Amino acid sequence: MEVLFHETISSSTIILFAALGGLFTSIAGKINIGLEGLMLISAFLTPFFSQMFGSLFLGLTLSIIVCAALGAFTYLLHCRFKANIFVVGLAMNLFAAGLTTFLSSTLLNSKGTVYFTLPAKIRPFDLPLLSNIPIVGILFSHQNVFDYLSFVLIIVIYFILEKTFFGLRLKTVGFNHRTAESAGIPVKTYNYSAFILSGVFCALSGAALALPLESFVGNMTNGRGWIALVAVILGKNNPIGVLGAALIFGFSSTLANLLQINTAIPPKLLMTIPFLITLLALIVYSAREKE
Amino acid sequence: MNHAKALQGADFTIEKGTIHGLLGENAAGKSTLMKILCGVHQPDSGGILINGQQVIFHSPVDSLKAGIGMVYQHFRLVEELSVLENILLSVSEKGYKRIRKRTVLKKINALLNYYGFKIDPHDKVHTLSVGEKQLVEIIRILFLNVDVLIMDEPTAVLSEFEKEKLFSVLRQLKEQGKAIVFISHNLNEVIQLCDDITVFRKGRNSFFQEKDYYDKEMILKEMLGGDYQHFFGTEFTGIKQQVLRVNDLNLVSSEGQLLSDINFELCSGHITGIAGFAGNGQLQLFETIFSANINYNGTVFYHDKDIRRCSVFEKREAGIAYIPEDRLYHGSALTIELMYNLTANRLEKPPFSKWKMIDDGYVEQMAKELVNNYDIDTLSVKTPVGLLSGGNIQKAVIARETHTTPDLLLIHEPTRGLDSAAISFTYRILNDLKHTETAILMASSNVEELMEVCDEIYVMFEGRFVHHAKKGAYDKQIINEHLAGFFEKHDERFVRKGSKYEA
Amino acid sequence: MKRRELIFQRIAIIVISFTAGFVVVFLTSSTPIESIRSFLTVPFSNRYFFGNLLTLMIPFIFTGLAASISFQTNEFNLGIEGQCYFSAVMGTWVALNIGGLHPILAIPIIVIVSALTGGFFAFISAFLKSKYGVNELISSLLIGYSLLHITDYFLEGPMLDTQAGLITTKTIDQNLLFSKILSPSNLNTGIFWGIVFLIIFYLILRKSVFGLKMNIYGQNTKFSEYIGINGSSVIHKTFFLSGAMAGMAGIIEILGVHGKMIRGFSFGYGWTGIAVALIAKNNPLWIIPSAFLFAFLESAASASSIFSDMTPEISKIIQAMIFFLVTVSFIKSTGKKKLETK
Repeated sequence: MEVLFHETISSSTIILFAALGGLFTSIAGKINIGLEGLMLISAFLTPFFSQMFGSLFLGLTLSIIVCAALGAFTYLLHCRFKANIFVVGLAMNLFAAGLTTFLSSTLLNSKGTVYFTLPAKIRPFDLPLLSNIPIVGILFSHQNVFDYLSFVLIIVIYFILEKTFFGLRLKTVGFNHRTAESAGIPVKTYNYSAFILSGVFCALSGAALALPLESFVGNMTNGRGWIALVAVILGKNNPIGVLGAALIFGFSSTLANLLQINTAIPPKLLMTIPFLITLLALIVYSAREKE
Repeated sequence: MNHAKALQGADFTIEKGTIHGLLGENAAGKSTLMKILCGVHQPDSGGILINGQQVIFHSPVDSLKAGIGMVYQHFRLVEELSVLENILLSVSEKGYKRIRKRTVLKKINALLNYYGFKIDPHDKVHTLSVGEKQLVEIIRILFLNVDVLIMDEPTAVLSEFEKEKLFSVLRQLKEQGKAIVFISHNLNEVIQLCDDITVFRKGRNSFFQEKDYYDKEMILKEMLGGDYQHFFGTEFTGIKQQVLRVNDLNLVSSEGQLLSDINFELCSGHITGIAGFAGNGQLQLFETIFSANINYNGTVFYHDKDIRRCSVFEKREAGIAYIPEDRLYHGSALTIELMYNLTANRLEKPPFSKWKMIDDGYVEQMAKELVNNYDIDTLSVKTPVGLLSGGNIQKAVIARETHTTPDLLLIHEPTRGLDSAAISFTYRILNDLKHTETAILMASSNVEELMEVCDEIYVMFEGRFVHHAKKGAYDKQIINEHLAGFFEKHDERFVRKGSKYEA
Repeated sequence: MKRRELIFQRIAIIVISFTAGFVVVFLTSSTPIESIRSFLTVPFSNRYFFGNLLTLMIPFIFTGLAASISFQTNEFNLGIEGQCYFSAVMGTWVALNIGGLHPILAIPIIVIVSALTGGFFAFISAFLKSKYGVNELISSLLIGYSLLHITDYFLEGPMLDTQAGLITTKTIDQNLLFSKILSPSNLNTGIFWGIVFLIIFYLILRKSVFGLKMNIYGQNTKFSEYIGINGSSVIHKTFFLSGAMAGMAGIIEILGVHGKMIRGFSFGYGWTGIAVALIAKNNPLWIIPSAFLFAFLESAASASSIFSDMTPEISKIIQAMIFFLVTVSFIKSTGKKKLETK
C-alpha cells in the first residue's frame, strides 16, 4: 500500500511538472503541444551535463536554460513569423526525438540505452521531523528531491496565479487579449514568459524522469507530455485541478506497472492503460463540459 | 482596412465641469475622433492640447495617464474575472508584487458608496446586468482619477431605468468638475443631458451650439444632412397565404430563458418586423427557425408542416433563406472563392454538380450573372470573398440568399454598416421579393427603418414580444418605450418583471 | 497566397533547413565535405539507391494523403503513426491466413482490411469530437500511442515467427506480394497504388462537392452549418478516409518490400506524412515532390552513413527544421489579416 502510494507520487511528479509547464501557456490562451519534446530534451541533457560538469545542480540549470530558450523559440516562430502553434509544437517533438538520438550517437556512440555516472544519486529520503507526524507523515517520507520540490512548487504557483499581478494579468491575456492590450498589459511579454516557464517546468519534468534512472533511452518520455496536456485541460487552468489530474494519471501508470509484476497480462497491453485512462478521463470531461 | 479619410480637419474642445454631447450618424467620425483622444489611433496631422499643453499619445495607457478615460460601447471587461479583479487590471504595479486587495477594496467601496451603486466587487462580471457592467467601467476609470470621461453610445444598451441612473451619475461627476463627452445619435437624450452640442458629419464638426440656444430642428437637419433614405415600398395586392406559424415558442438554455411565449405567423408578400436592441432574443428566434437545434418548446410550422426535425439543408431545400446579422463570419466563408460563396447553397444538385463533382464552368457562369445582377464590385469571381469590401460581401450574401426567390426570408439588421446606395439597394430587393410572394421576417434595432419597410411590427424585449402594431397604427414613442423595457402595466400581457433599480 | 510566393516559400524552407543540417555536419563530421557530397549524390548514383528512394516515397504518399485529407477540414489526425502500424499487422494477419485465394481477390481484401482498420480508429476520434466535443488532436494521438503498443503485443506474442532472429511475423505467400520494377532496388508496383490514390484524392479534395464541403467546414464551421452542411458527417467521413490512407501506407510497403511485418518498420511514417502534407499545402498533387523530398532526406542520410562517418539521424534534424519552418511566413502578405477567420 505504501509502495503504491510512493510509486504514484513519483510517476505523478513527472506528469505534474510538465503539466505545470502547459498550465502557464494554457492560462495565457495558447496550447503548447511541444511539452513532450522539451521533456525529452531535458531527459537527455540533464544527466549529460551533470556527468560532464560533475554537478547535478549545474547540469539541471543548463538544461533548464536550453529548454527555456526552446520554449521562447516556439513562441517566437508563432508570434513573429506567424507559424501555426500546433505545427511548431509538433516540430519540437520531432526535433527532440531527432536531436537526442543524434547527440547520443555522435557524442556517446550509442543508439540504445545510455547509462550515465552521475556525481550524486537521486534517492528517496525522509524529511526529518515532518516524516514522523502520523498519517500526514507519509507525504514527507521516502520521496526524492523532485517529489518534495513539486509539493513546494504547487503552492508557489498557486500563490503566483491567484495572488500576484502577474497571475491576474496572465489570466487576462488568456481570456481576452484585446482587453489586456487596452489595459496596457504587454501581451507578447506575458506570452513569452508563459512559454519560457513552460520550458523550465518541462526541463524539471525531464530531469525527474531521467536522473533517478541514471540513464537515457530514445523516446523515454513515452507520451507523458501528451498526458500532461490532458491534465492541463482536465485541471481547468487551476494548479490544484492539474495536481488532481496528474495524480490520477500517475496512479494509472503505477497500476500498469503493478499489474505487470503481479499478473500474467502481456506487458505491452498493460502499457496502453495510461493512454486509455487518459482518453477516458478526457471523454468524461468533454461530455460534461458540452452539456 | 479602409483607406478613406475618417476625419478631415475636425476641431473639438471640451471644458471642465461640462457634459458635451457629440452627435452624428454612423460613420460620421465621432468614434474615430474619440479613439484618437484615447491613444488607440494616431492622427495623420493635427494634435491634442490639455490645459494648453501639447500631448502625444502612443497608446491608451498614455492617454489614461494624462487623465482621459473612455467607456467603450462594447465593454472592455474580462467577463470571467470579478469586478475587483477587473479594476485591479488598471493598476500599474510590477508583476511580481502581491496584490493588496484590502486597500484597493476600500477605495472601490468608497467610490461605489459615493455614487450609490449597489454592486458587490467580488461578483464575477458575467453575472452582472448590462447597466451594472457599464457602471463598473465608469468606476474603473474613476478609480484612476481621470479628468475627462468619454462615453461612447452609453445608452444604446440600457433600459430606461438604467438610463436615468446613468444620467444622474454623469451629472454628479459634472458637479465634481469632470469633463464628460457623451456620444450618441439620440437627439432627445443629448438635449436632456448635455451643456454643449457638437454635430459631426462626414468626418468633421459641422455644427456647435450651447445649451441656452438649442434648436432641435436645426440640429436634426445638420445630423441627417438630407441623406435620409426613403423606402418607396409598394403594397402587395395578391392573395396572402400563411407561410410560417410559430406557436408558444419557448427556449431555455444555461444562460436562462432566451425566448418566452412567442406566437406569430408570416404571410407571403408581407414584411414583418421585429424591433429590439441587440441581445433581446432576435438571434435566438432566427436560429430556432433556421438551425438544426431541436431543444425548444412549442412548434414551428412551415407551410403547415412541423419543421422541428428538419436539417438546415432540408429547410433550405424547402425555400427558407436566412441573412444573418454577422455577414462576415456567419454569412460567408472569407477564404473561399466568391463563386463558391455565391452558390454554396445549391452546389449539391445539378446543374451545379454532376456525379458529386462540381461543374466549375456552370458555377462560374452563374456567379458572373449574380455579380452583374447584384452589382458586386470584384476583380474576378475567383477572388476569395474576404478580399472584397464590407458592402460587397453584404451584397454577395444577399445575392446568394435571394436569387432563388425563397418562400421565406429571415433577415437580421438588413442595413447596418451600409452606405446610402447600398441601403436603397437592399430595400429595393426586399420590395421585389415581397412582390414575388416571399414572406419576410426582418429584425432591426432601427425603428424608423422598420416603420418604413414593414407591414407589421413586433417589439421584442428580453426574449418576448411586448408590443404589436400594424402599418398605419405605428406610434414611434410607444415602440421606443417598449424597446427599452419601459412600459406601463396597463397592458396586462406584457407586464415587466421588477428591475434592480426600482427600489 | 500567390503561386509564385508559395514556391519561393518552399524553396526558402528547404534551403534554410539543409543549410542548418550541413552546419551540424561540419560541426560533427571529421570529413564534412565528403559527408555532404555523398549525402547529395549517393541517392542518385545508381539504380539501387535511386530505386530505394522511390520506394520510400510510397508510404509517404499515403501518410501524406492521410494528413492532407484531415487538414482540409482544419482538423489534425495525429494518430496516423499508430493507424498505419496497427493496420499493417491486421493486413499481415489476413495475408498469412487467407489460404489459397487467388491474388486478384486476395490482395484487394488484404488492402481493404488494412484501410478499414485505419479508417475505423481514425473515425473514433471524429465520433468523439462530434458527439462529446473531445479534442480530436489529443484523442487521435492517445489512441495512436495505444495502437503502437497493441501492435507490438501481436508481433511479440501471437504472431511472432520464433524461427527468425528479429521480431517479425512469418513470411507472406510469394503470390500475394507485389512484383519488383527496378531491380536490384526494392521498387515495386506499390508505387502505382500510390499514384492511383493520389489522383483519386486530387479529384475528391479539389473537384468534388464533398471536397468543397470539407474546405468550407475547415474554414468556417459556423458558416458551414448555416449553409446546410452536416458538419458531423463531414468530419466522420474525413477522418475515416484519412485513417484509411494511413492504414494502406503500411500494408502496401509490406506487400511490396518486406513480405512480412517487422517490428518498427514504419516508425516515423506518420509524422513525415504530416510534414509532407504541410509542404503540399492544399494541393494533393504537390504530395509527389514533397514525398520525394522526404524520401530523399531519409535515403541520403542512411546512404551517406555508409560512405562517411555521418549518423543517419541527421535527416531527423533537417526534417524537424522543415517542420519548424513549414508554416512560417517569410513574405509579408498583404490583406492576409482580413482573410483570417475567427
